[in-house]
Amino acid sequence: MKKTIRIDPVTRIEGHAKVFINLNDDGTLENAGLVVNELRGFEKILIGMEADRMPHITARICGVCPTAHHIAASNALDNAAGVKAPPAAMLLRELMYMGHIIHSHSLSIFVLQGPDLVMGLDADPAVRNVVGIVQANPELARIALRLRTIGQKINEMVGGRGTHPVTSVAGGITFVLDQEKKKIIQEWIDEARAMLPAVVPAVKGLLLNALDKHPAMLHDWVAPSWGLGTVLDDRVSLIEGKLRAIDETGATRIEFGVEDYDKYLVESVVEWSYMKKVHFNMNGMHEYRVGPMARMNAMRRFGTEMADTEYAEFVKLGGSPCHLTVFQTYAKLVETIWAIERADEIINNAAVWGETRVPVTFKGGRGVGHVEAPRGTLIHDYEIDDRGIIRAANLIVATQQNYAIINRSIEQAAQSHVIGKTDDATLLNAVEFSIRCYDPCLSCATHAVGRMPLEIAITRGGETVKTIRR
Amino acid sequence: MPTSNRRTIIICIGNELIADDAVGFEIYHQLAGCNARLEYCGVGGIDMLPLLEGETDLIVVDAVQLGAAPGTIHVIPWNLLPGGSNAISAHGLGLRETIEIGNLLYPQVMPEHITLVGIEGRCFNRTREYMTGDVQDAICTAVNTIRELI
Repeated sequence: MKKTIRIDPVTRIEGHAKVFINLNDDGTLENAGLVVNELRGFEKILIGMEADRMPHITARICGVCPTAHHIAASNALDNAAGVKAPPAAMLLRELMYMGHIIHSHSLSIFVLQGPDLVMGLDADPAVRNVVGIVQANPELARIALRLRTIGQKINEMVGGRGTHPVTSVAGGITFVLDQEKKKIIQEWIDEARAMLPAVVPAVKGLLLNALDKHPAMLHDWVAPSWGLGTVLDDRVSLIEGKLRAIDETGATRIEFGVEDYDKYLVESVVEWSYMKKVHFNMNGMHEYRVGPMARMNAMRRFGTEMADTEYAEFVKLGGSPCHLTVFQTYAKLVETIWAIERADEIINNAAVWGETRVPVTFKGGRGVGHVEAPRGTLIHDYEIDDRGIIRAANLIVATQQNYAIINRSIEQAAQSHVIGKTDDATLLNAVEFSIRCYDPCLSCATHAVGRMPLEIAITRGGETVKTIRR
Repeated sequence: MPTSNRRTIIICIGNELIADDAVGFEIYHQLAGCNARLEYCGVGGIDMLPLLEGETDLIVVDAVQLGAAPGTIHVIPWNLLPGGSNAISAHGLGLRETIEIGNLLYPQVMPEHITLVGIEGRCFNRTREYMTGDVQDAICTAVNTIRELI
């Protein structure tokens, strides 16, 4: 008898997601995957628009990572116009971006994954949410949300708006730093630094506790794969640098400029999802990972004291390269430390007071730019005509690139927590947690302009035998 | 509490580029000059909490999908809102959870009265020029409703 279990927790997520888990007649796993059923639309909307609007318009693709699209679009326009933003502009874009990383990672660690870590995977879903985490550990929650707010404030001051920044433009940035703003930003950075001694051990402790309770995560939730991340002088770099591809062993296979992305990254359509998946094409097609852990696997050092110290701890626990799915959370924590330190470096760099814009003219041609978004490499590719109008656009986002690995992690979660288990809650929690480790941004992945629910389905031999709704 | 001691903050939410989701942004502009502190948030959730400064009343204005006809104006106390977020994505935090978190962590700045003015929308997958006619027509009524609540 074939088995199908459907799980439909309709939540307020961006992106209509459905997880399927197909079991064979004998109950063993056939396959599993994430289905995204929202129309891919943003790339079409952009056609016919003025190119210089791209940093503003594409920031609206997503309410969680708008700054990533904002800066990626700016970088692409710089390249299309054949200009280089002045050093001060690059530093200020990066300062805005550090605020964004602090904000986004804090949200992801504490609001999204925090409930799983604080309450445990076995906790009742009614309390395993962010309200539950606040009730269980209000002091940590207060610090975490303050850290998030500080990141957003830095992003907002430099970017002009918090959620959808507006100051980065083709050729530079319109934000002008002054001593008063510097003083305020420095105070925020100092406050964030002061939080780290409380935050870092707390998050690590929660993660290690979760591993103690669910040792399968340590042994079975391992997904060796290629990885892709941006490096500058072997250091992690988020808004400029070369893309470095590493294999499962951590060996560098190639470094390339983003303008060559389409030589290596191959998009393909799957019949059961609107989200295209991407493989790395080099002596065959390879599944690969992007995001904080991929970046850590690709770089050699952060280049700041506290982050490099914590990175050494990370390597002791997770190895190098690390392929432990649940260590994505730890990687985000290390990057958060680095973002605070890097913001401090930038605001105290004398070069930040220099010229911030150069004139830009579009003479017709192509412009490709990228950033390392919180969730991984984000590429904007525009064809712009000689009147400065967008004629074609292609966006490659992190969730697409992680798609194959996300599906593998769902299969591993299904193997360890679903097959042969009767506890629906644990089943659902484990599958969802495996997805949350990648913090998928489904609106970005489909470039959708809508909001949609989630559905999870498990089948056995093609027939539905069970439906679970939350 | 005497009326003279009441202070109201209005937070309008929505993506100004998306059809019916832009209704919060439109109302934000039409409320300019009203007797309340007026704020706009592209995305709601936790971003609302740092905006609160101890006002007695909070009015949240947003497009909603509660199953009514497009353009229907819902006036709902926050404690009657549906809850139970368990998102796989960081986008998943709703108004009810946000207020619960605020009450737990920042009780000193949380308003005594919190009301959602939700405008029922239908189209969330097209751009601003495709705002549903009934939603567009409801903007004026919603603004009057909010002014009466202040």
